[in-house]
Amino acid sequence: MADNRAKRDDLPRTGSNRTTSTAAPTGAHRRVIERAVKLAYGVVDDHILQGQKAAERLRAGTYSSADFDSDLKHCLQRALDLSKEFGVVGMDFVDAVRRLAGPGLSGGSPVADVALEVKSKRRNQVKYDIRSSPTRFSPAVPPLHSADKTKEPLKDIHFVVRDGQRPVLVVNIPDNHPYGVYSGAIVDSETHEPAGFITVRILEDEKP
Amino acid sequence: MKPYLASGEPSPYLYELAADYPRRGGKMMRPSICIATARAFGARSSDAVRSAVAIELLHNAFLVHDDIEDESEMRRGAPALHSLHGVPLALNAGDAMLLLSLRPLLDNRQNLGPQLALDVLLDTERMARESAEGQAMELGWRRDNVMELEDDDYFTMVLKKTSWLAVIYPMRVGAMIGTRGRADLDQFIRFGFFLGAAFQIQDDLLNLAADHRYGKEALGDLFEGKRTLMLIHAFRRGAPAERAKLKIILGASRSERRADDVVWIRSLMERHDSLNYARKIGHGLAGAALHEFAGIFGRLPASRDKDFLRGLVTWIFERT
Repeated sequence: MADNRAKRDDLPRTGSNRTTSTAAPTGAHRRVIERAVKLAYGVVDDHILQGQKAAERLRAGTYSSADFDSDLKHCLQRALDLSKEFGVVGMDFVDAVRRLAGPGLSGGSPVADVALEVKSKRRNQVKYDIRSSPTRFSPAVPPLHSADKTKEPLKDIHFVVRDGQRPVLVVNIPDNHPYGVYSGAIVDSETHEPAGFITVRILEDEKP
Repeated sequence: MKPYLASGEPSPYLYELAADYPRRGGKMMRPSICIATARAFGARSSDAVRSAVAIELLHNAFLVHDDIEDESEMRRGAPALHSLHGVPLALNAGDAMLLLSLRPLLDNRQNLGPQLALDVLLDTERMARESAEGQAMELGWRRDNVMELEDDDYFTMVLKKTSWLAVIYPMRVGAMIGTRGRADLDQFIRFGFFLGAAFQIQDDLLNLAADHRYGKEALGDLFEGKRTLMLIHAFRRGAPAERAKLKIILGASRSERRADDVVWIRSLMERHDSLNYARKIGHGLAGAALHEFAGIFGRLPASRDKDFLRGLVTWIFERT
């Protein structure tokens, strides 16, 4: 296509034809330029300001800070839903990797030192993975769900943290709770950030 | 650009028309600014070439529309597209070029990644809005025969109509690509505005002294009733009788405007030294552009691209 482009004749001169720029500007000349440049700066600075305000409005339209709290709740709910759906598989996967890797695997920071207290007449297994000591934040455990939606969640699981004592994770399993695997996140009750996972497995009672 | 100028049927009614203005050549100033800015900030040419193609396609699409809106007869030394093919086909070809320009911007994802490609697309939307607003200002002034304008009205119109597409947008896109989205984009508005406005004033001055090399009809802006800095100045400085006559001439439609009318307007500008007035302002704005250039590019290492961009400021006064 370049060959078809129209071309202008070469210019006979070798420099610019400017004449005004070589002469010292007169007072009137200078005033015209100063006024025009000042005016032009006013126009462009106002334009930039308008652009900044428009950008702020657009950003506000796309995402309002007023939506932040509800969005955060939505995200947390989604995280919990995901943990309900994948928690069991995830924990089993972590356990499998640990078994394969041997006892040296700790992922950098050690698992927090927490005592476990299970109040139950049912046969059970409790596994948890908490990376930060519960003395450093306010741990909470939202209800643990089963992948089977017909089963009621396990609701009475909490931490007891007393000064100078080892934190205790207390798991209450009602006597008549259906067997199955219940899992979920351990969260910081102030920031709502996940801090670990817990799985409670209620085993079928042994046949007499 | 050729791969993005689609071909196939209905070629004689669409794609040949769409390729007409790009084939006529042109200065390629806008894509060159985009590529040079990207390179000055450290990018490769290949990172900016798709955006540069889109910019030139958009520019040509706008030219088709502008020529219809301004009732221009000549473009790049040949009859305007609507003069050759009629308004409906030319308008449709202009629309198609606008859409064809989206493809290289979407293809930017391949080498720029989705976020940067989206940022470029968002700036394209801003440029299109600013340009449409500027064109609307000028067309509105002409339709309503508004003459009581000040220099800052003219600056605002030129900032939107000319500077955004001619300099600000190509530079911002180049800087986005060169810095991977980390540049402060507002600084390019100042430099681009001053350079674009100086360019437009010089373009308007050239139109008043146009010869065949200029590519547009001589005194075409006066036939079209374009609100140039010279026209606004001449009206402002004119005696009441001159102002009244000027309003009557510009209030008529283009087809009613006679050659001796536009020659009279040209002489009115001479009488009130409006050409020199505009020339001075053009030089002043070019000086402001150089000042802003130093602020943006001063810290970057010397390069041919940096020299090219700085050279634009003096080049606009060397055009014929």
